[in-house]
Amino acid sequence: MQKRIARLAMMIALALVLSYVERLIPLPMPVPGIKLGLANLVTLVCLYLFGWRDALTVSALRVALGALMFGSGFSMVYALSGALCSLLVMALLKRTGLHPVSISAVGGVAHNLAQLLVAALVVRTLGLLSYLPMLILSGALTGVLVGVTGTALIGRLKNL
Amino acid sequence: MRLKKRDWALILGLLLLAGALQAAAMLNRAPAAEALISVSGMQVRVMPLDEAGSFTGEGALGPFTVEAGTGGIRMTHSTCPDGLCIRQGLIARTGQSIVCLPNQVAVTLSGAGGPMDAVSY
Repeated sequence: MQKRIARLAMMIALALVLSYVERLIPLPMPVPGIKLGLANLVTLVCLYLFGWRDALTVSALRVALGALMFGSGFSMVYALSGALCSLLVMALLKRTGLHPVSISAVGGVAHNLAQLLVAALVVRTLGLLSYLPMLILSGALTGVLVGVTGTALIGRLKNL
Repeated sequence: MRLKKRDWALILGLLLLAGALQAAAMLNRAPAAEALISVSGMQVRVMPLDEAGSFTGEGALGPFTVEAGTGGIRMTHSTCPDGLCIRQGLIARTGQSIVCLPNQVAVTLSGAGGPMDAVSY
């Protein structure tokens, strides 16, 4: 039990550091709110190493803590919708035996789509959907990036 | 684990989907004529883009200012922590939008006569 708490706490801390650090990296794309989603790396690794329940715990807690530390109440809801949707999609897809890179790509897209929907609901404007192509593209690309890194990590952390 | 054909197919499919959607969106782009400004989903102002003008409204967090002119519009001030809406710069084509999410402000562009770009009977 203590080992589990230590493992998950370490993962949460790692995710928080990643979500802070990724803000320091400037992105060339003009779409507002676009991020690398590096913290999803931790979600993916937890999903494969520990299962979806622990991945859910880590994901929810790092969003909550991240919002408390760097963001606001609203940003928590916004981030939570993306993270939870992404985790749900990834956990379901994992059963099909797809490679983690593909699953991460779809997860990245799901993350962005969920956040776009929340944003559209908040401002009640369907015009936001014009961002859809760029969000799918960036979600897939960053998902692949995270997936490749995650696959390497999953292979090496099997003994955790 | 190895990457199988279906993995490549999936990733490629996503990229193609994004490309197709973007192409479809770009085909519908035309120079915009007016901007619809809404706060928390409610329309507060319609501004023509050919006349120079500015509008200051009240968002969920505080005041914001948009400036229109020469066929485009931009957000010049907003009470949000990131200022992403301001950094976005000028938008000038139908379908484009500037959104300040914390302030719940949305500026969407359309052709003359509202959101419909073309109507046929």
